[in-house]
Amino acid sequence: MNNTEQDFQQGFEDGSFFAGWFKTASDLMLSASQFWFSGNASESSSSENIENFNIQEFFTSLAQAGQTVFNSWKDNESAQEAINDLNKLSEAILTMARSGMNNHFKMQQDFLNGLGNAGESFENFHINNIPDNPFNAFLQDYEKFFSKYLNMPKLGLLRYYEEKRDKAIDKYNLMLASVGEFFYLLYIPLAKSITVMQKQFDEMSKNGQLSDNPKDYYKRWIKILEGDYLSLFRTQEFLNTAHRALNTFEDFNFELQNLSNDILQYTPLPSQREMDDLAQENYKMKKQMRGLMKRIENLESEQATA
Amino acid sequence: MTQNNSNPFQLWINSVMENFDKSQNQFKKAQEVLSSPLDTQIANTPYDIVYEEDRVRLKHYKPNTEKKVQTPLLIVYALINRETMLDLQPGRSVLENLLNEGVEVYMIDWGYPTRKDRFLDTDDHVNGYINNAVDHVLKENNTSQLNLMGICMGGTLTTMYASLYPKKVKNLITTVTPTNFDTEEGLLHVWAKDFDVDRIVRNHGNMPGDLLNLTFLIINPARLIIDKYVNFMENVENKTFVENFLRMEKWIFDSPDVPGEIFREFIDCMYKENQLIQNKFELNGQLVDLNNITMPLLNIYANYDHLVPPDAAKHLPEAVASKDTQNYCLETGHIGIYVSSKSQKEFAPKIVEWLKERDLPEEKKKKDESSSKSRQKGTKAKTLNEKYNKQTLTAKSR
Repeated sequence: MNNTEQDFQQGFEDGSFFAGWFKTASDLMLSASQFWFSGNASESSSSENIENFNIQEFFTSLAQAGQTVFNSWKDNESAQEAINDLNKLSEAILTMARSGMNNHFKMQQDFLNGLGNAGESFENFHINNIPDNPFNAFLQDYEKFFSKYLNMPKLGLLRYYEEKRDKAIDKYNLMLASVGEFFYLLYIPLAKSITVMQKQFDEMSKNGQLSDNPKDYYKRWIKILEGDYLSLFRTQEFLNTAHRALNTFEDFNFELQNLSNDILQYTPLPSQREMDDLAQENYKMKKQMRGLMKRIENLESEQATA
Repeated sequence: MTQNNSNPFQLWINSVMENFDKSQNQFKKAQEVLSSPLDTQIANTPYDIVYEEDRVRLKHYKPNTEKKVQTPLLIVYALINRETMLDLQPGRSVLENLLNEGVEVYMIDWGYPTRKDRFLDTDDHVNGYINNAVDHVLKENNTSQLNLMGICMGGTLTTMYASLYPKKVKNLITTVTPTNFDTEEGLLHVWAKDFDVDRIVRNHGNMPGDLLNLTFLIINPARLIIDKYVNFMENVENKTFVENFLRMEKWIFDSPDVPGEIFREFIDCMYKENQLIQNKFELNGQLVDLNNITMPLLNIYANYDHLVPPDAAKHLPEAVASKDTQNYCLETGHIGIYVSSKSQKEFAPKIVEWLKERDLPEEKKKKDESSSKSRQKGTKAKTLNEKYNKQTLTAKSR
């Protein structure tokens, strides 16, 4: 056994290895959290809630609790001491939970502040621009204020699952906005045709040209509506909106499929990805087999003619 | 009704009130019609299944009279919606009209693709299913050639087939077939340019039929989502109208999914790059060259087609090498060409008449061709001139 291995063994036996490791980990978390909170504090007043909680104290107590627990591994004689140590650990867990809750509240606070800011964007709208703006503005605000929280990196064992979940939520929100925008555009000709119809009706009324047959008005309206839709469908704005709605719908669908694939991993059911792979193998084999059969048939007919 | 009343809604209400008794009777009649047994069966013409491969079936319809066209006709329907459209009901059936005229008809039924069919591409359809169906028909009829007719996207596939297997096709008929995709006449052509087909295929495997239907409805929502049903409500007490309406409704929403890979190729290579008519499209490494199409070609399209507008359909005769080509335009729409009562008297009779004129036995045809060749020696300029003076007829101008 060389010196390094001996030191490691010694450290493992007297618990100093774990204590050392725990201290390093706590220090790392402490500096990371300080960085995180100081960064956010400048952005939002809600960070004050977090600052009231002494993060250094939390990690110091966590480090002490860890060290005590690992020390107790070396000297198991005092059961009472071990129980006390465990109490310290549970205190640490409670503190950690408190910290987690505070973070959660902070996120909520930021989210609500974001909502408030989102409202400011709508103040600048003019009625004439309404067809262009409301959903665009929402999407811009969404990306500026909310989306980034969902796309924050996750940590730990479940990070990939959490990231996928949040990505799906993000895509769902984008889809809702884009599909809403699409239906809003579809609604515009409807509203416009009624206004045009009303104007025409007033003119007809002035000229004493009103018809007694309501069907005449319907025919006129449906013709206006048809024309308005045909004009709308050729605009670049409609094309962009329709494609965005379809693309965001499909993006959300894709994330949802990813999530369901993850869940199906833990069940005896095959996932769609697995079934697709199987279908592709089957397709390739069938194609090869048909090609070979055709070649055999040709060879046989050649032989028969020979 | 007063002329002073300036609110259309009020006018309508007044009219309803005035006709309340009438409306009540109408409602009662409508209830009677809708709750009575309705004949909404479609595709009633009897057929035999003579060949099957995967989900694809080959239907064989025997003529109702003695054969007047000796060469069998194979119809290749589109992969969008179903071939039952050609046989909606007795009296409104292209198939029935063809059979009454003594044509032996085979038709490909593409079935309902499932997710496992997502990898099937254009090559699988043209060199696979269509070629196998053609071989089966040829074998069954002990002949070396057949007449080939394509419907819409099926026409695009048969055009490819005729280019790759010209010896097997005696006459080619394309109906409302998109071959020139570089046009902005139809909304589909405008919309498809930026359509991200990869996302759809990645998620769904195939192009969902319902999504296609939604697209077709959105092209003209005023007529297809509102006016159509207003018209239905106005005629709801008329049993025959209701039955016809429901038959059409049944067909229109019977929309199989389109296999993902062929759909992807159709969007990317046709709608976005217009490869076919430029002789740039390849199938399994083989160029689909329209100059290989030398058999007679009848290209039928509809003047009011909102899905395959005239500009998308009418250029095929200019692109092929056939000397005997004809454009034939009907004054109707994409579906009307097959189902409207007016078209029943024009569409199938035109096809039968055209086929009869070209239904020469093979030996006689070869003889005629060789004598024609000897006559045409040294008159290449004249032949080229003839090529560019190919016939274009419209139902109106006839």
